[in-house]
Amino acid sequence: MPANGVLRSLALTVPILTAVVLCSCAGPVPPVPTPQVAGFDPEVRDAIVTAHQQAAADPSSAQASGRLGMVLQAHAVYQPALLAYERAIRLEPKEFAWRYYLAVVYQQLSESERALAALSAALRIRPDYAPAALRKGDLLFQLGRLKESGDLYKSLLSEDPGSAMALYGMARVKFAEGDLSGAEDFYSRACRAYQTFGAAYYGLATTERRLGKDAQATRDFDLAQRYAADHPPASDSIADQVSAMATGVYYRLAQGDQFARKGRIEEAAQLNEALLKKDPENFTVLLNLLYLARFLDRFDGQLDDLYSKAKRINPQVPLIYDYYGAAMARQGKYDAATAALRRAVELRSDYPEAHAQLGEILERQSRPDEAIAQYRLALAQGPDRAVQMNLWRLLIIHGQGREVIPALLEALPIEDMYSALRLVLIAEAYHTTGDAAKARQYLEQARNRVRQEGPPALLAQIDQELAQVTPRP
Amino acid sequence: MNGKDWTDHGRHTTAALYRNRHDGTFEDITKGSGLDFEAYSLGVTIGDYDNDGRDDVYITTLGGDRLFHNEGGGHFRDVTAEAGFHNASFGTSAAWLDYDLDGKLDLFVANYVQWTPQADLWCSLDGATKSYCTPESYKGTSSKLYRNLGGGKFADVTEQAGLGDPNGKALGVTPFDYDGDGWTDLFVSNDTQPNKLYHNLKNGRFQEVGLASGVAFGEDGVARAAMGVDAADYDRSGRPHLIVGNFSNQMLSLYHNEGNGLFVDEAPRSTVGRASLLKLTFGLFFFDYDLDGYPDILTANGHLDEAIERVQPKVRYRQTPLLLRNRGGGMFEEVDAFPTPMVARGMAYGDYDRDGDLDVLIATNHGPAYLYRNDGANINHWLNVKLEGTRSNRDGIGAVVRVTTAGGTQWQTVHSGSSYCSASDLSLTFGLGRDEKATRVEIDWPAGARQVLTDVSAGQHLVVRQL
Repeated sequence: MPANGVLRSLALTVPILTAVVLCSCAGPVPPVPTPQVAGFDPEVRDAIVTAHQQAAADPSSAQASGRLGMVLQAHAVYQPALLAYERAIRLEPKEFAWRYYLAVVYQQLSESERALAALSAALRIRPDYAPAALRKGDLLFQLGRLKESGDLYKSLLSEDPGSAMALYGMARVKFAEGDLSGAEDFYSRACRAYQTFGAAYYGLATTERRLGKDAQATRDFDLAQRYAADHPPASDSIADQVSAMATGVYYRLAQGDQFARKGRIEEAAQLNEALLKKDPENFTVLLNLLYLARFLDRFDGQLDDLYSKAKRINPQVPLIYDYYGAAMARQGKYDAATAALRRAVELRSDYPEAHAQLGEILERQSRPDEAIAQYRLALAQGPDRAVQMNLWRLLIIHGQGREVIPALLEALPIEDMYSALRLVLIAEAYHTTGDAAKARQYLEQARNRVRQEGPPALLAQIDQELAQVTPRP
Repeated sequence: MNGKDWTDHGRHTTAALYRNRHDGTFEDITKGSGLDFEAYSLGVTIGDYDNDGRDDVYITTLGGDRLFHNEGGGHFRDVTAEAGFHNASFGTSAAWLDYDLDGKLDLFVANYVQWTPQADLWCSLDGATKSYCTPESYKGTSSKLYRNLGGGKFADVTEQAGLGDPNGKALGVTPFDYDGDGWTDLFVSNDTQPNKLYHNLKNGRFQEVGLASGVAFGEDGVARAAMGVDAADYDRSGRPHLIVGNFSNQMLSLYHNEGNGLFVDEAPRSTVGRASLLKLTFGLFFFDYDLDGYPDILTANGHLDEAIERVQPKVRYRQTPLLLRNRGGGMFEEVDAFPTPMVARGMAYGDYDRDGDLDVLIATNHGPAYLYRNDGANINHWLNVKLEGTRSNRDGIGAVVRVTTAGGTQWQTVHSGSSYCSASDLSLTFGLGRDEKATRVEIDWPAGARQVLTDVSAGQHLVVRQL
């Protein structure tokens, strides 16, 4: 291009750039977005409507618009949330939070480049906010910009050398760059910084495998599995302010589900009870409480009420009867439990859990033939090692040891939590056929195994049984 | 396969059987074929399980899979019960394989979750409209391995083979021999659960080595939503590598087989990852669409949720298939050959017009099947090899075919399964590029016998019978 062409091109470019800069900083403030709230549950709708009214009533308030964005973001209404944050940024360009939230929403929308731009802008205001920097490092990594990602983690580590997340991020960059010894070093440091960091152990193990360090890799794969769901707490107080605004039945149900999965049964129950007070006919909540009742004594009094309500709303759902049956069994009310579980399998014949549970209760009621039949029905739906063990045990107790020996022998190579118990069962099965030598052989194998792996209680049982099959001098 | 319409629209759907009229068109011969049964079917796999020379059909169906024996003359007989099959566990993909090298085809069926219409849960993306729940909401269920006992009988050997996995949520399976020992191993892709790699121990049992081999999780140690899967040697390293379809924002996994029992996901560092990031991939496979001798990748994509664009505007409900051309040296480039967005699920390949290049069939949700005729590969030469086992299984499933030309040696395994809920042509198409002949064609039959042909002209459909 001739020189005058370059100048002409520059002359055109400068006004365009100026216009772009002016638009982004000083253009007209966009209107307050009006989100559609039809179909939302009343609590969420109210929260959104209130925030919207406040933003509309005070159009010059960045706080009000930003708060509207936060409420919308907390309930996954992302497009209007973007507009609300854009508005808050125009009104208050130096506020870190609006730009940070904007970036988080762009990330939710898979708009990585825009998220990166918003994060960079936010970090220019508060370069010290580590959660934002970590987020940016991760985004750069995802976009394949490994050097920039690595530089950012390096800078974070110069501020906080013990940051497990920054060490982990740096390890991922090193691994992606093919620097395996660097990756190993940073993964190891991340694991030391947070000793139950599942993902870091996984990265470390994978790196060790590639380095040919198989023994270490095996150990670290085990740790990765053990700590699979664990990672350093986020400590993102600014993002937490958005999460704290989440409300509504579905959010709470999800929260209750999380509590239950983590074994926090009482918290899950309290949350569902609060939901039931607001919405006594909510079928999901009723089902949740029926399920949780098997773990908590305090539900014994209201169990029948929950059961009746759930049946009235949708009597064809087998889960009602399954859950009620389990809760009644816990109370020792086996007849009622049996009746409920029979109803569950009547509604859904291919319901292995209900068959298995019914089998266990019938066993406790000393009805072995019926229990055996239920275990068989459960297993007809698919393999279940716990049910299989129950069935074999019951068959042996009731004189059908010879029948189970071939199946047990076939299952012996399986390595799982029942491996030792299988050896005991096969010994017991041989014992019932009168073959004391075989019984002794398998009990000794079981004892060796349990000595190494536990559990100690089983060792005592094995010793007792060995004494029975060992001829006295 | 067609899903049964459970609404009250009065539409009843069945499987569909089309006969190729040899003129580029097909005739619907479903009615009276025996395959005209109503069901909510998901997947299909084809194999001659009784070695009678006719391919039989196994269909995964919600509520109970079916095995159909090919009686000849376009007729099939339901032999599910008499053959010993009982799988009502939300079967998805299935694959025939001869895992014990006894010359008879065994069957692996991938099973998904414990779901029934009665046990359906209410979930929502936006808090207002119902959408599919994530798989975490449902319990997993074990996939199954059925051993062919001969005489048309099968036995469920899942547990004794070491394949029992009650937490599994399997959507895809590919049988492949990752360590090159001649015994077929299995890769099973799981949705939100670790993928499994089952190493064949040559004694009727498998050992799960997914974690230690690096295929169980994503790079971040988290299980992805894996669906379709396929295996091939895309870089002529002599080892089979894996491609796995995942959820949107998870990208494909391209597991490179390092040869020491370890796989490394090459997708994040390559075009494969970047091009597939926003796609939600179900069906996918390696196939040499341009016949240049290097396997390319095609993926069938489409989101689960019609409302996804409201929540994530960059992710589309209808998505275009993604074609990634193999440039050699382990590098791929995106090719814009499939412009129509669709909600794609199953996908298979075959040369329906017998012109030598591979055509593609894509099944979609709430939409028609798309048949794509390949017209772009005719400048290159090709060789199609169909095997006919005599001591090995009749389809030659598990056999390795190596083709050598002036341009080098490439190889493929005859394999069933792969992709998602689909069955592709069991004959193998080799792209020879500009080479007009293969100097050597070497067949390693499953039980170990080797057969060699020399100076084989390009441009022919070769049938090789086991000597």
